Amino acid sequence: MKAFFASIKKEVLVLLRDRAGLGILFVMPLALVIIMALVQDGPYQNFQKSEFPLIFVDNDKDTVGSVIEKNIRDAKIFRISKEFNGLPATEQVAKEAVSQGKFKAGVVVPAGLSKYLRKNARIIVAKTFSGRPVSEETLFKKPPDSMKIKYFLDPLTSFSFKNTIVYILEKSSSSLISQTITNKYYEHFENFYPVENKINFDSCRIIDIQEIDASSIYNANVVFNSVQHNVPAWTMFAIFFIFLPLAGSIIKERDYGTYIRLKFMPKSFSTVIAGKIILYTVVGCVQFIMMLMVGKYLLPAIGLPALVIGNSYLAISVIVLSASLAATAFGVLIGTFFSTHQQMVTFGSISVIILAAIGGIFVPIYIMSKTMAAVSKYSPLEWGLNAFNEIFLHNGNFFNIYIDALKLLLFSFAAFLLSLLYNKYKRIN
Amino acid sequence: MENDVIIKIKNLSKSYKGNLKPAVDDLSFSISRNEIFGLLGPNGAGKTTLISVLCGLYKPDKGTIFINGSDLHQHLKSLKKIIGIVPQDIALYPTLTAKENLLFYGNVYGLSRRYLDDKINECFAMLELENSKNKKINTFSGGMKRRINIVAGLLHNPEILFLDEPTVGIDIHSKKIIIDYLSGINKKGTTIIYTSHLIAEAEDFCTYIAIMNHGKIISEGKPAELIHRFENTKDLEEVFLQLTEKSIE
Repeated sequence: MKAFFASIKKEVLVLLRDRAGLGILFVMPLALVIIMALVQDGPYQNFQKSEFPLIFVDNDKDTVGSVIEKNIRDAKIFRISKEFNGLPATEQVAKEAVSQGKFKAGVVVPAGLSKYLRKNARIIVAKTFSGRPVSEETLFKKPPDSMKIKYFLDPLTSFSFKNTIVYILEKSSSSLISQTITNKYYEHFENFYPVENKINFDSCRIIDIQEIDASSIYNANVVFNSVQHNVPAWTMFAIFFIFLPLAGSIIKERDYGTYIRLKFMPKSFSTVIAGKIILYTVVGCVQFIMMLMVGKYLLPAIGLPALVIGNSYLAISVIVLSASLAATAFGVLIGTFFSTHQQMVTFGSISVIILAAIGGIFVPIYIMSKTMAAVSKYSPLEWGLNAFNEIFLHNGNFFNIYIDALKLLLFSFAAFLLSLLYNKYKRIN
Repeated sequence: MENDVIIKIKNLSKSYKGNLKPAVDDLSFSISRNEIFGLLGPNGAGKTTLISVLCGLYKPDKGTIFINGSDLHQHLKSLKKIIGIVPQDIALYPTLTAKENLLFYGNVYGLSRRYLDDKINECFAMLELENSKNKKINTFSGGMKRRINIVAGLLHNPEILFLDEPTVGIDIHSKKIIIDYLSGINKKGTTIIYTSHLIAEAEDFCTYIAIMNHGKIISEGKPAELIHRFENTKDLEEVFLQLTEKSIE
């Protein structure tokens, strides 16, 4: 035990006197979390608030135009404009504005569309009461291009954004068609007897939908925002960057010759290495606590949302310890395999960046392709991040995260074992 | 027991992967207790490899090593307790003070704090380092570092001390302090195995010398015996040159 505690004390002293190492471990991660949370706050807010600029051309100036405009406004994710560069919006102006990227989308309602709708509704009703057989094909002609509602999108907009526009236009059209045809039926029946209750059937929600806020089941008032993503994500990234000072210290031990001296000593070399493992595992935990404090207190002070961390401190402790141990094991492995500082830094940094990219640190996994989402399951950073999200967003407890913790512990075990075997191999060869 | 064997090596070979010739090639020899055994040879002769195998850092490809009558690789852990090693590199942490370094190594050996304090003070006094105890190693001169490097290998009073080029690259003053100190601990019973390029220093310091080349011992004996064994040689340096046919760096 004496050797073990001496090793921890030595590592603490070496680390405390290594300003660059301290910077990498404690200052850089804080800067990273703050900057990333600030940078991504805009895009996250855009996704949740009505920020998308849309140019609206109402050539109809009648019921259809006003209903579509109302439905777009009610969606609360668009900022509608009817002019561009001081010019009133026309189809040509709107096309140009969208192509220049000034607007995310443009919608054009053609002139006379309301009249065209009413005329065709009247024809449909007349045909259904004509006594002659009618089919869907003979009931009405398909509208000409001049009577179609047009929309154009900035090529940089996402698929889901396009779906939102199409949904609003489809919903508006269906509602207008059914309501106009219903009105024509009323007019037809009024020729024979008075209709006292002219009901807008569109408002009869016989089948209704209800949104249940998932957060009310789990964590009240948690919104997946920039802080909720970036703090745990970049904390995992920073914890894995422990490899840099740790592997660096292993390589330095070899360069100084202290490694050789320790190998000659009677105490097991792994006892001495254990000192490094304990120290850097504790460093990982301290990093996490620091990042948590930043998320809870510093980020709100600079105008960002506060980090919500859930209620299971046991689950948090288990996953932080597992993640720190996995990062430490990764550092030991890298430090054991590589003989020069340059090789270690290049390979280690690129590895962590790759593991972070596939692990959903840079972009959430749910927006990745199916293949990449499947690949992400093999990144230890994803295991940690997934567990944090489970605890923070879903108020998860130990039983929700123990699989991820086990994966991280298995990863640590495998990395330590590989390092040990490689050391033995080097002794034999 | 004055001249009994402390290290006995039989048919020892060690090769490195990718090298056609073995670094240590079928060596058999013995080292007597309380000897100052000098292992001399040009660069690449196999001295450091031999010391590394004798200390248990590398496993030999074949052959046996007996230390105090016990097979080294079967009793590695217990035998390490009686071995001290002073590697060629300054095996110290540059950002720790001299005392912090020595306390760390002493603790790894499991030595008590009181013993360590006394031992460190004694060594520092003998090596003229009393005022540098609490200074960081990276502020030391080359000679001071070498002296601390030696103390780190001696904290546990080893029976056998391996020294790999202990005086390389240092001033005459530091060299004298080190050699005097090592002679002193040898007189107290420590067997010393010493490698060096400095033939003149070895001639004065060692009681027995083995000259290595290409992994083999090409000649061995007391320094005076070696000089007399060869014609037209007046010192060990000339013997060395004759044997190795290489210039000394």
